[in-house]
Amino acid sequence: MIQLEINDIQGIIRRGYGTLEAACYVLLKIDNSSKTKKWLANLANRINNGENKPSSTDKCINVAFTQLGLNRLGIEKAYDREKKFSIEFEDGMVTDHRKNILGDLNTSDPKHWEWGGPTNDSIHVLLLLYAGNQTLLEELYSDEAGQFASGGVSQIKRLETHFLPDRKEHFGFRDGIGQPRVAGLLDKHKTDLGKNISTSVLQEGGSYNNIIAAGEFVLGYPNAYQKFPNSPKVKKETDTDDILDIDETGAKDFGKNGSYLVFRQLEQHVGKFWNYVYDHSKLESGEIDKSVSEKLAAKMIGRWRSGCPITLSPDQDDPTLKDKDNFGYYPDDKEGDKCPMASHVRRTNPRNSPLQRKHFNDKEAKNAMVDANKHRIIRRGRAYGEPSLDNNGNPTMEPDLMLKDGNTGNRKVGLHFLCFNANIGRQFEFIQHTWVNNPKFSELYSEADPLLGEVSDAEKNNGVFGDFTAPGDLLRTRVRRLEKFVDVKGGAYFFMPGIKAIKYLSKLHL
Amino acid sequence: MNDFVSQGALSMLAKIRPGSIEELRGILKDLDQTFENNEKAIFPFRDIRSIHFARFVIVDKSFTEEATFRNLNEPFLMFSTNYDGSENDHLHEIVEVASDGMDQIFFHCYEYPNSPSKKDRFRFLKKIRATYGAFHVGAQGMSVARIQKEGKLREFIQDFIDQNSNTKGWSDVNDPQLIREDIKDQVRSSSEFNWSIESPDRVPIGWKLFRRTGWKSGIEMIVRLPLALVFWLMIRRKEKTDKIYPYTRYDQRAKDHTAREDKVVQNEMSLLVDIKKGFRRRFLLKTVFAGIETLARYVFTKGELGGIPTIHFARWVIVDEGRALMFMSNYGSSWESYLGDFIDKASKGLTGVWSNTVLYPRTRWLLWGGSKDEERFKCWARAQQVTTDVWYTAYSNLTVKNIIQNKQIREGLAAGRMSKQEATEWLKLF
Ligand code: HEM
Repeated sequence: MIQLEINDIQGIIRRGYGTLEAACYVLLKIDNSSKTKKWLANLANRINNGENKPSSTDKCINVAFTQLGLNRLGIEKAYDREKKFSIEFEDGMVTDHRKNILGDLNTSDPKHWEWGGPTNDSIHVLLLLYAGNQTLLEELYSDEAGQFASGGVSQIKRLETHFLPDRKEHFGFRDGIGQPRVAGLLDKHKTDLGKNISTSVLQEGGSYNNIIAAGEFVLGYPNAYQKFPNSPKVKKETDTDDILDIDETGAKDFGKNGSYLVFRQLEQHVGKFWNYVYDHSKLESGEIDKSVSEKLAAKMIGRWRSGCPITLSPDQDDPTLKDKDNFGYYPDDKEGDKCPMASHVRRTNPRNSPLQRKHFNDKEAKNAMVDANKHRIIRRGRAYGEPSLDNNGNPTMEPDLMLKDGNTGNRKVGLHFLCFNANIGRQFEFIQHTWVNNPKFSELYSEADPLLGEVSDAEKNNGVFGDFTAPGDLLRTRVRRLEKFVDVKGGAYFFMPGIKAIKYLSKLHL
Repeated sequence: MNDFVSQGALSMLAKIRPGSIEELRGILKDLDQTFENNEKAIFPFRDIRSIHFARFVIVDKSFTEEATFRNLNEPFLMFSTNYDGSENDHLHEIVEVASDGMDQIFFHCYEYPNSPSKKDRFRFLKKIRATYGAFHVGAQGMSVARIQKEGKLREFIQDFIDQNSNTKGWSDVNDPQLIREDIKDQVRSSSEFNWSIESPDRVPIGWKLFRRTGWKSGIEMIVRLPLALVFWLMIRRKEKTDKIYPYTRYDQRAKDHTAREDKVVQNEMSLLVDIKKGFRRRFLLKTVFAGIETLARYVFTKGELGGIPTIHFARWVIVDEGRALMFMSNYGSSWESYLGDFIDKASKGLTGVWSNTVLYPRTRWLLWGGSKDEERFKCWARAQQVTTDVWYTAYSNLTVKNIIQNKQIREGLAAGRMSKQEATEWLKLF
């Protein structure tokens, strides 16, 4: 029986730490690797693992590394022949080709990035710090930062986060709802991960199924194909203290209990977004029809601002459904009349919806679900930047008030997008490339993701990117020339090792 | 242009003269960068109206059992096209339009005549063409001209709907039949698009029966089957110990290919791998081809190859005197999703082919397993990819699904009276 070693998996992979409303991310560079190893030996004991569910008085630390960082610590010489990290991770987020895949073009070009780009300092370590409130966070930060010098690391940047009312992101929508349920992390299912997940756990009725093999997120366990995902292995003799587990072939598995962490700093142009929506919701008199604008925005996202899925409540918001994640699109909304195919949530997780009209049947809906579940991510992002304030000085996520706030254009706000997966190419990059940035998603023609799509070149491409269509009972509603509402400001691929693997690193002397 | 036109695949293999490869590579590189924007480009693909897709690939190495490349004894230039209509008409058009390019390119190949006439050029192309093992067409019967025109027609109607969906009160009357009639009127009154009011021709009965040479493949498959079954049983024992590709991560070489990908929504792929040694393997491979060819002609005619919806054209050709297998495809998605479909949707058919080539992931009974070893399979495919030197697409902004949907729009426009239900369905296509 294969079971997850939850106490070796870092906690943030398992939980979003919703109780810890304050967080910051510290980007570090390694100056002296032998000092860093001592620091890591110590740090390993402070890392929050998956067993501990933090309460609001807790402080939690998690840590991840770039390939460059691991190289500094000597991993290159320790590899067991060709059994290295995946090429996506090794090459990093910024390559000529990856710009096309990720849509990092024009205003999002890595050459303009604030960190992680070709003109910025190279990043080696990412420290993720969480606490119940800002005061506790500052305590935690100063404790940790106090050890940087002796630890042979120096700070490149500290990235702040800001907890918004009702767990919203800056456009005003509730976030962090749609997540995969990882087999083996669910208390309900004491799952044997060696068995086929889709048959060994309960189906949740119909074709909808949200239970995903652990190996899709954590290395060292069978994935959706019942194979062990590619994982870096190290030579036996480098593990003098016999810290690491061995894999199914007897090799020392450095990757086990680790996960790839994708980090993107996404700046959101809140004013631009709501102005666009309002401009396309005008009555003939020129007045803005709020019922139209609310609906257009909800169609673009796929959920109402409250979080309620538009596919379940198509005509108006129903806040009682704000955290609903257990639903499919087939059969009730197979055509996308309620939640458009082009919307952000439908294209980042099509669930059980067949992507072609001719596949609108039960069998294909099941297949679609299985296919979609091969491209899932665990999202752990947080918003950054101060929100607008209402007349009483309280934070507000109301579009009118956000637009009234003359500062919306100047204040830099956005999302620190973080997600975990075991195969960056098949999961995060696939979502970004084949679904988000693909104007041909499903049976569409010219519709990239209405929030994130790369539309700067739309004119040059005969408008190939910039449309958004909401199908209707009789005729569709189409808006054109979408603007660029989100720009990338930084990013990198990290690996968040298991805790034993960090201990191994701290002892790695070649 | 209303006619049903069948599509073909030409694979022309010209052996390259020793010492000419680098110069030829230079010419092709130049061509690849210039043919779209430079009127003086030596090979004006866009003027050859019968071409859907075309490519030039210099093939000088094949992927071997040692997971490295071996140099071919006789390197060749692969010039492949997907074309409309008859082969001869297509070749005549190439010769007519691209004689300069032909001269400059094939000058570096054996048997290309000095100061050739049109007839010489035609004869040369005829001579170097190779037969394919199996060939798939995504949008069957659709000519380049029709694909492009129907693409514009859809945009025209979409704009009309945009202009009228509010002002004309369409949504008030709530009458799909009336809306359709309004659209028809608009199209009828446009000199650019009134052709589309007429129904496209029916598919000819001769085609329905014979499917080009599809019927021959069917017969070939049946003839081969008994012996193939015997070989199949015999190989079962060997397949358990055949070497498989050792890595589950992409090779750094993958970068050369990825650099060319994802410039438009379509992509291309050329793969080249050694066939496992022995008569039995080759026999099995040809049997599988006959099977796929039959299915491709008679069954996979609705835009999908064994469930893969993104392929415009794909073909396998046996090259290097039977030692290696070349696969060439034009597809409308990302590499990851394309290869994912190989695994999730069409695993058995593709495993049936590639299980006869070296280092393919472990199979069971030649059809099962194989590509299901997902990471290994993708890495194996990437490792054997060869760089396409020049690639042309006639309609880079359309996918197979788009083409088929445009066809449905056109057919619905040209159809006679529709019921309310039918008209509603038709309007959903916009
Ligand atoms: C600033 C940028 C972004 C904003 C404002 C944004 C906003 C949202 C919102 C409001 C939701 C619905 C709430 C929920 O289900 O959690 C959502 C869901 C989601 N987003 Fe994003 N998002 C952004 C970037 C991204 C990126 C870059 C990706 C991945 C490439 C992504 C993937 C997803 C996924 C997978 C879901 C869940 C879909 C589901 O399971 O139904 N998002 N996003």
